[in-house]
Amino acid sequence: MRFNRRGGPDRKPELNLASMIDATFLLLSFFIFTTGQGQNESKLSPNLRAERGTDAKDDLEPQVLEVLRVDGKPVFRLGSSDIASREQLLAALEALPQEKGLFVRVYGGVEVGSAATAIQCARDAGFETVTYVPAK
Amino acid sequence: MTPMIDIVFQLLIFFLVTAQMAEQTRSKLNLPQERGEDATEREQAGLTVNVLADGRIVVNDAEVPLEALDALVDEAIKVAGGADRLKPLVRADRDCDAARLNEVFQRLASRGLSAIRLATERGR
Repeated sequence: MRFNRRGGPDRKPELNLASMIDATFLLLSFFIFTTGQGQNESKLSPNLRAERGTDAKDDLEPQVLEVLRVDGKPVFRLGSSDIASREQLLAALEALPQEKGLFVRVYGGVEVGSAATAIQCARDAGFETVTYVPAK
Repeated sequence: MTPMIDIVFQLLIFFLVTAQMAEQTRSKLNLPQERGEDATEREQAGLTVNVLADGRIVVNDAEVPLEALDALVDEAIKVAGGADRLKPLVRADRDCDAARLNEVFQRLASRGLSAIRLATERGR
């Protein structure tokens, strides 16, 4: 900072704040910009559970949504019905009792995007407990 | 003019450093386009695992084999103070085969982790 001492030794020094204000506004705009960029990313938080063999009898009637590829297309299998669209999946999940929770079993061959769609639809349908089960 | 030049140079350095850091911490990925959840809890810092479209795994800007994840997870659990306190963030490309994601999840589950966060991109 430069102090202006013009006008004799008795005069109080002046502090030039213009450049500091410039820098502050520039920093402010930078942080606003970068914060906006970061908000573009969100998260899904399912529980995680490794698939067990035949000892999985402790779960009474688990509701399972399977994500797999059938005839080259990703399919959501709920019970005996195969669902292809997001809207139909959401409607089918909304019809289920939500308090029991939902297991999402994802098989190899489908894209990660389809797995995320299944979890998102489960959340949107009102399931609080969604468990991701990676299929072997 | 001197203080202004000082500040301009300092800002220039600041922007260069931050831009480089942002590049390092986040791998370029096409995340699944989902709305995600309304985050009510405070975000935890911890382990971030990136799974690229071709199946490669990147942690802390370094490519790691699947087998090396165990050691990284164990270290993160130690830092977090227990497996129940660690909720790793998995950033997987939406076009990646879920078989690779399953391998990563099986590794995480084998270390005692029971919850994960799957990164999405707000596109819908």
